Amino acid sequence: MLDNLALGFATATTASNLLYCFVGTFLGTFIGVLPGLGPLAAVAMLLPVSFYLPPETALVMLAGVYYGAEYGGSIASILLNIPGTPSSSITCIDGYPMARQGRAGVALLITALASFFGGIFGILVIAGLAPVLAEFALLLQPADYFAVMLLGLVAASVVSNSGTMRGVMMVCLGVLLGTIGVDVNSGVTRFTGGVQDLRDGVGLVVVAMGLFGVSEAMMSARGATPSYATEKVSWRRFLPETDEWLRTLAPALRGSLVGSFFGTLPGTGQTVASSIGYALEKRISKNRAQFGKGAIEGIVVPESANNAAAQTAFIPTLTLGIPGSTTMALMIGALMIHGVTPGPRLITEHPDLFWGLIVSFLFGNLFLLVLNIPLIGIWVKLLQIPHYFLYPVVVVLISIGVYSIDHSILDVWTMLAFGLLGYVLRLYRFEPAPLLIGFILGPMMEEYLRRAMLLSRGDPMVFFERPGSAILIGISAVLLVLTALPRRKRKVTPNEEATETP
Amino acid sequence: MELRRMKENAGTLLLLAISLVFVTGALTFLELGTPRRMGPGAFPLIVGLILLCLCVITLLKDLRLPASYTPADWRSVGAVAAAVALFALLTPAFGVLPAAGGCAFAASFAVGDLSPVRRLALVAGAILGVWLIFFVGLKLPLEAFKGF
Repeated sequence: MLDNLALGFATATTASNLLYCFVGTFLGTFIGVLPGLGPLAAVAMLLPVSFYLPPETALVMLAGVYYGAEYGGSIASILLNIPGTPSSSITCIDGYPMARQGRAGVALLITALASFFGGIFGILVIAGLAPVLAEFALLLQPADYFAVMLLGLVAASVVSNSGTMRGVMMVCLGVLLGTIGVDVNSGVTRFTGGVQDLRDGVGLVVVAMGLFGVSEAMMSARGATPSYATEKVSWRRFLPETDEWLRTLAPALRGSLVGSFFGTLPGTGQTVASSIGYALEKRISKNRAQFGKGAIEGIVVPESANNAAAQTAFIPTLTLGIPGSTTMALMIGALMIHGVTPGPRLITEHPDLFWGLIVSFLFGNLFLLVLNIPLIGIWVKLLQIPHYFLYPVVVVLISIGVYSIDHSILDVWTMLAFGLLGYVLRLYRFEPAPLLIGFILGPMMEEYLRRAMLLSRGDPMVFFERPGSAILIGISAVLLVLTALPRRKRKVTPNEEATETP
Repeated sequence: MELRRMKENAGTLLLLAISLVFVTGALTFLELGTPRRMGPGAFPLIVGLILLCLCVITLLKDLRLPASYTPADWRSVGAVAAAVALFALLTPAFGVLPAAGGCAFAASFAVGDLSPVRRLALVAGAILGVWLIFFVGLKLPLEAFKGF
């Protein structure tokens, strides 16, 4: 294990690799902060540059870009409530309220630290368990994967602040919207209304920018520039209070554990990991009443889970060739351009590359910390831009960001439609985060459901006969029941308030 | 259902309508297949039915008590929607930079009253910012101007 890590360190710490990692992290963060441009866009933009570099250097730089953009997305989530990736939509739930309470600096600092913690944890897990985990992932069958997706969706609906019922409804809506486009199994187009350009489905970024970006602009544009933004920014304001440091340690560990486990499952490790981590924490944390209102644990858990999963996701990505996300798919593409094909033998045949990549992610994370802690002050200043200037600019940036993906005007119109949908739903206390997660997991869930049913010759009992899926479905059911029941009382409260106020 | 009740539950009603579109769409246009070989319509039908049931339950529950909702701020919605629409309309005709200006101009009406000078500064600033970030910095292959 140590030999492997040492080899990785030797690869990652050459001067030029470190330099490219730094440049990558720097550029990634700036691109990631722009609404509409996330890790995918950042990696895609800088991929051509990497062709001219040796394979390790290229990957090290892309790892930096990836981390930087992920963190940039978290900055936009926390400050503006515009998440760049589905997993950072979970960070929004507590990060944005924190920013509104004038604690944006604390949130950004904790995000960077939690990411780092999760990343290191994931690296240790990989270093120790890579061969075992690779075999474990091979043991799972479609029925088990279906159950994993189900658990992910249930967790996503439980994170919702407006009650599990509304969360489940949003997840269902997201899953339905995810079915738009060509059905991969039969080649039949579904729900496109005859529009040719919808055959490939609606783009993830289009949905995310509409639901979060456009509807957020509609919601908040009119609010006055908040008073906290004009307060003087000093170092002390970035530091959490002493008891908060202690309170974040256990959640960071739990988040990393959840993340490391779910990251090894091919598919959407990161999204599932951060929503399950958050849902779990919301059940067991002593501070659970604060969740959704700016609890520091609410950022620590999804961020550490997300980054631990990003690390362990390399196991399926590189050994099975199944990317965990589109960004990972691009990274595989970069590998293949350099003549390295992912496969079960990658770890043994190209140990320098595998371990170099793992360690370079560690450095990407470290640079992120070094680079961004001094910059937090600048990011927080973003909030000092007067609202009347900020929101129009955000609308312009989102529009161009979405347009630039495919040069498609239809995408801009679709984003507007999702913006209006998101706005109406928010007026009625339906939250967009579970919708987005349903939208991502839905298509995969359908795929595994159909495959499992085919393998079992149409017998739905397969989901309960396999121990793995039976346990996961059991957990999902318990989670649903547990969260749906005690909320009854709380659900009446807003209704009662309504009777008093009018 | 009286109008006030309709308004209070419009969100759920919207979801109900969407679920109905998916359920009827799956039933009329798509093959459902067999349990062993599920057709393209089976999964949307199942999920659509779940959403439909949940909408009905929520409606039954919320109709008994007056439900709370935030009233819409039509000025912000209209201005932001117009801004995005203007961007979509202007880009194919005039290119990205003029569209960005139009977008910023329309969006500036969402934030309340601005003096003409500030509005102008905002539009100019947005165009300059977009040019610097997307064309100078990121060098995206977008058309800055078209048809001039």
